[in-house]
Amino acid sequence: MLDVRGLAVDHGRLRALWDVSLEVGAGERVGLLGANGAGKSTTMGAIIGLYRCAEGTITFDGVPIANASTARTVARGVALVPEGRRLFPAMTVAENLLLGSYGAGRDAQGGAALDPVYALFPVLADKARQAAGELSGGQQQMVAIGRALMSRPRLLLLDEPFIGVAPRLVDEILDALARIADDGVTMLLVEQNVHRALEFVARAYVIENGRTVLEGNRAALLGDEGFSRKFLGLE
Amino acid sequence: MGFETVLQVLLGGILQGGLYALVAFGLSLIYGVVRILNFAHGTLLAVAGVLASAAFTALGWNPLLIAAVLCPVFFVLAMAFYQVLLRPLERRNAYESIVGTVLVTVGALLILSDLTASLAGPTQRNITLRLPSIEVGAIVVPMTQLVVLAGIVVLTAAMHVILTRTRFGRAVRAVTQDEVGAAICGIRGGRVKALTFGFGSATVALAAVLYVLSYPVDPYMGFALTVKAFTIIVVGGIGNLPGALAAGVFLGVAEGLTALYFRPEWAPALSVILMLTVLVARPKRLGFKA
Repeated sequence: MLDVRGLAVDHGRLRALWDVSLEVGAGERVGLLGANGAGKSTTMGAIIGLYRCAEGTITFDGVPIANASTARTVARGVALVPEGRRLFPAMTVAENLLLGSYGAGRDAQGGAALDPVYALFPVLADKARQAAGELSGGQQQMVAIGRALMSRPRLLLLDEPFIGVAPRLVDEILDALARIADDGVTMLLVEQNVHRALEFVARAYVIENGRTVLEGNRAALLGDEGFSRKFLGLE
Repeated sequence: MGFETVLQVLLGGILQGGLYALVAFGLSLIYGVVRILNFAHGTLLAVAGVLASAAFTALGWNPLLIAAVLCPVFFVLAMAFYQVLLRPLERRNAYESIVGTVLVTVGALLILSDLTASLAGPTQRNITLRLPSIEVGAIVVPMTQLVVLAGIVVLTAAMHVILTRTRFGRAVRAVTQDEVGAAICGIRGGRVKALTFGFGSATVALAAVLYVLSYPVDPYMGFALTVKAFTIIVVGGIGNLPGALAAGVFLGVAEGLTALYFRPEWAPALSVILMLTVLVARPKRLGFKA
């Protein structure tokens, strides 16, 4: 479904990504792991068109989407739950969610359009008329996920969805993500907590200094000596 | 000085302040979305005001028709101005793009003022409607003032509805609050920026028609108005419609009272003093709200 090959991205004059390649098949849950600054968020941003690709190719369902506009890629069925959530803090929860379907031109619909999101995160129905900025970190993350779902994506990119989320809500969000995946949505998850990530995804890629250095399923990654030393050394 | 005089000044201040607020709101919308301080913004009011008064005296058009013509014309011209002169600067580095946009908008201010003065003359002009006055006890309220007041109320309400109830309005607020968040919702930032630049400028054209009905305009009055609009944004909050209205009316009434009790020539300095006071004392007030 998603095929990234030899991706390179520049931030100004600095090269942030050198050579990232990864593949995500339809219906898969795939992780993207790596240290801070390895280039995980840049990879996600490049896929959805927030950053220009200097080299390499990105295809989605066989269609090249590198350097396509974000609006276009979203319309094709890719959605991002971005690092730091990027909500509209002074707008209500309902307005935030409705904006998620803006690109699809369905944003004018009220009430019923949001029911699937409220079914997933019932607490948001109670907070619908509250400003998104007043919610707790975990609830804001629910809004970010719900907003991304409003464009009815086939591929959901999740960038660190558990930062600033209370432990009690982490499980609730993980359950919701599992249900979304069961509905047939493909997922690419960036996550700092390797154990948590490997519980959720079937396999993962590891990037280091802007390059893909390792790929494998849970057992293969945990069995890899270099991987264990780097990511599990402190455990 | 009697009670009636004070009431007259208050009413005048509310009118003047409402007009300031309309100008400021267009400017703050543009700043919130496009992140450009448009120094030519107030000059657009001067140009539109001169055009309106010329159309009124030379062609005999009624003010509603003038507004209906000026609004789309300013919308389209301002969008073209943004696309051709300002948008290319966004791709430059931060320093070049900031200096570039200041030069372009200040340049537009100077050229528009001179061009208007050379074509229409540098003198003050206005539109004088011969409407009756209403007397409430000892207070005489000219009908024109009520018409302008109604215009301000209608325009403010229309802007509120556009911002909260339309697809364009939601996109404007989204881009103002988080540009990346807006992009991943499928909002095309470039298009929204151009439309907002046009929209903000078109509201100034409408405000200009209301302005010339009550006060004289001249080609060189624009920059002072832009400074007042900056003050209102600083005091009332960026993208905050009720805040702009309150700050505008406060400024308008304060100017009126200063002219009444002190000296008229000190009234224009008020806005600068107010802006500096707020900036120095409460810098946190500059947050975004939309």
